[in-house]
Amino acid sequence: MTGAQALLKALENHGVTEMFAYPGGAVLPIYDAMADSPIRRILVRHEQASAFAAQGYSRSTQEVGVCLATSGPGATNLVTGIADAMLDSIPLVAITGNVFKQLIGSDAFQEIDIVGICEPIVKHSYFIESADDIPRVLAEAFHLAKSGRPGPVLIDIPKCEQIAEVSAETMKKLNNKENFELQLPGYKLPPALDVTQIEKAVELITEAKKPIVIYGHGVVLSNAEAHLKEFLEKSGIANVWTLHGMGAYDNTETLSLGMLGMHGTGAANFAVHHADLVLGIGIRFDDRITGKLSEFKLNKKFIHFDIDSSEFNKNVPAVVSLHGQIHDTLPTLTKALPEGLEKQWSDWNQQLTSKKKAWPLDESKAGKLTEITVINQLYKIMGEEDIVLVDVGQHQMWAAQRFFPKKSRKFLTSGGLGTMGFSLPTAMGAVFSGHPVWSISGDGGFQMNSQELATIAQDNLPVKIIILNNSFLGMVRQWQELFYDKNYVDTPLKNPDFVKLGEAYGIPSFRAETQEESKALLDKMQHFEGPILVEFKLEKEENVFPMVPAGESLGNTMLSKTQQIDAA
Amino acid sequence: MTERFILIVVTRNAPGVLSRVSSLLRRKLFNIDSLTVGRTTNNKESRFTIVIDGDEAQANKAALLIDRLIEIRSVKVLKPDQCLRREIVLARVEITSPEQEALLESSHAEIISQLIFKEGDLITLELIDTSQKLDEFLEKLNQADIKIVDWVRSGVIAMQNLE
Repeated sequence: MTGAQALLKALENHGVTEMFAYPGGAVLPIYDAMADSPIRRILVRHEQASAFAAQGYSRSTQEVGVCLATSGPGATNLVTGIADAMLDSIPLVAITGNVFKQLIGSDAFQEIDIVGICEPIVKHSYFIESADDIPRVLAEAFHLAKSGRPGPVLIDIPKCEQIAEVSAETMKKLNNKENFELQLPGYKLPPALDVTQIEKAVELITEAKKPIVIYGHGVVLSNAEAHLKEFLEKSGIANVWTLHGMGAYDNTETLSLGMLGMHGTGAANFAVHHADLVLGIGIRFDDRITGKLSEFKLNKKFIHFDIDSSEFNKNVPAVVSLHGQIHDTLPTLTKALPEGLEKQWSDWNQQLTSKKKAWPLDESKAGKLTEITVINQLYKIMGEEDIVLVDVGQHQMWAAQRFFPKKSRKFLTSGGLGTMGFSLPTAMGAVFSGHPVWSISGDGGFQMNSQELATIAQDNLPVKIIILNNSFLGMVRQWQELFYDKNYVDTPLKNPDFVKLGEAYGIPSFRAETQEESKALLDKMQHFEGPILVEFKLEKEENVFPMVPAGESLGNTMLSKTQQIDAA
Repeated sequence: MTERFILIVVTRNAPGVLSRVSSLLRRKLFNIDSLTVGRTTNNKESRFTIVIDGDEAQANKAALLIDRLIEIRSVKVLKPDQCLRREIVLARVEITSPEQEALLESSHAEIISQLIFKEGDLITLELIDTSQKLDEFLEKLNQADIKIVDWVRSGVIAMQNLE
């Protein structure tokens, strides 16, 4: 059994059924061995897409997605997808081939130090020194990718070790599906919960007059949705969410005020700005939710829940830090909390719900086709299990403000890295969840990975492709309009005929130019089997509000070009 | 003067660990005053002594980030007065007057450990002490116009004091 065969057998033993990959010289032994493997390959058209598709698999199924690329440019093309997984804490196993060990360091053809390049953007990485290490390293990679704070793991395998024979013992263990012992002595999972922190948290909560909960991705990654519900119901504390927290709780509840941050709702930003106690549950207080940090921190205390202790006191000082899986820490706190606390903040809650009513989100413009029209129409017809993937930019924020999925893992987006071109390839991985998948992109982001239409067509992946075409790089244009005196440099796009483009790949493609056509085509997409593409020709210069201008405080949230929330 | 903190980091003795630790400190913009690494009594482990310029919060932040790396066994943050710190300087100097030579001789009292050996017209000094003491001594050589032909310092190694 060769290293290549051992790799495929080990992947199979780990339950991998699909792999997103692109062949090349330094992975030929692995491709040669694939004929004997039951693992289905999805042949992407650019390696970046393989990393995103693998992420889509992870994000939608909770399993670990796997991607594979050759050495050199194949490996460097994975970088954006790996970095994106790191920033969003998505489990991913990325496998690259490399040149023969004797050639490493000689600047050989298609040789690159991918382990070095990826060092800052992986949870861990391996360079395989011996074929015999492959099954153990793979076991470690899956464990590391999934456990604790999830993240991407890179395994770089020189071609010589793909060809080399593994030992008879390794082969036997693989064939018998035996476990390989992990050698991770330095890898620490969170210690048992510190009970004094729970006592301190209860004290802070019972002293608070204006508490608010911000929940985020950590709740989803820790599968703690039910615990969040219990906590919110028992405490009666109003809540807001981050982009990745969406769906972790019923966002349509009265005390659910909306997404927080740069394009958060007026009520959510108001609530956090004025709160005296913030419970950050599985969030990392990044700049897109805090706005101006010095003002964000003023006059409030923080209780921070996280699995990664390096997040505590990184951006805000935590009076209480609850280190661990949220499914452990949060229910312990809920239990310790006295009943009937909500009376203490009923005035505050009333103030917040009245703000929520006073500052509704922008409606769709009568008679015009805009992003908001399409997003509202789509939200109305989507089923509970439907997954929507948005790209990055204006439509991402409009959708994030208006989607209230009943379950987590139903609204997938690139939050941390903010990668344009995310939606289409990631959707290819999400279809393996077995649920209907909608991919929304703008005209800019779509063209960053439009080559994947070929993958979608070849594998008949049932992605419902929405292109929201406003003929601009909309978010950048919005900033140019508001802060650079409408100096629209390189944001207007001359686009291809997207319908013809889709048809060229053999994908049924349509165009909507009115609200009626839009509704009819969305209905058609909903019931369509297999891939389908619709381009929506939209109004060109719409702006996303609310908005916190970069570097400003949440108290300066603009509800429109002329109206601010009351900062006082 | 900025504060200094000392991180004692025990890691797996594996390829790439030094690079992971140092590149982490670079990309998070920590100021490293000195970094040394060597094997421990257990040949599967390495031990780093990292001196960081910055306040205690920054030192703790660095420790948490380093500890997050998979191959790190333990990280300890110490104030300078909580540990025994030593650095070695090798300096090759040119002596042109008896006064200068006397200065070298008299320094015995100031430096914890000092070896002097002559190599033709040159004198090579091997000095062991805290970094600050060594800085002060080198400044003295400078003021006495002793020409330093070549010199190297090892970086700091440290060991926590017994309670």
